[in-house]
Amino acid sequence: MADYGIKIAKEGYDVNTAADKDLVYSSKFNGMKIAEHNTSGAGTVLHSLGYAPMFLNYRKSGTQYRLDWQTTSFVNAPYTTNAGIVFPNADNYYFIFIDKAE
Amino acid sequence: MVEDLKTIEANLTESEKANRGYYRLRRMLADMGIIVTKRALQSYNFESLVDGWKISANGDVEFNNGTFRGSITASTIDIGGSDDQSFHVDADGNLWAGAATYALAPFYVSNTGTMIINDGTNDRILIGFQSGGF
Repeated sequence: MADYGIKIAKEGYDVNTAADKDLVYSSKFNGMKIAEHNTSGAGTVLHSLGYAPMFLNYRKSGTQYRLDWQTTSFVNAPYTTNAGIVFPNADNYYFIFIDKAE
Repeated sequence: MVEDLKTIEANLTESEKANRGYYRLRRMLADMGIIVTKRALQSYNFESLVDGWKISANGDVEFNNGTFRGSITASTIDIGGSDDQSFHVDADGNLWAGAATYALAPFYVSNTGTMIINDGTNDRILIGFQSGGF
């Protein structure tokens, strides 16, 4: 089915011949699909996906929203499991994706 | 209807009387609002693309509205003329709308399963089949 899909060209480009970089969308490339997004305090947000999904988390710090990067020490960083996303800290703005973490 | 025919019969000319059957049929049809012309049968008010109906001996017909309880079989389909508000299907199964020709249409679907939407300058959206395209 490699010859079937959907694609949309940027304005000024012919979708029949446009390079991938000149498309605004192509089903050739996997797009991350959001299962849910919300806010959360410290704790575990359960999901029912049955596997450890990808996730993205911002934490509010004053008026700033900062990416909650995993640290090399793995201390106080959120993580994903088959059951839920665990947030060690408060003030989380998270996205859980349909896509698997691995 | 019988009385009308008697009246018609009474008014036939000598020439018409010689071809009584023909003229009788013609007058009967005229009484029903149907005119027999050369190699065609048409309603008394027929005016092409305006009013009435016509059935030609070459197989062409023109009607207004119609209801078909069964299927329709045709070679091509053209609806709405040949302008930017028309719809077409060609004999190969390609369909398009918004232009007289497939090549100029802002929307078309090929018989290979490709749907294209054109923004007026370029084909912008493709859904379906493109060999090597995905």
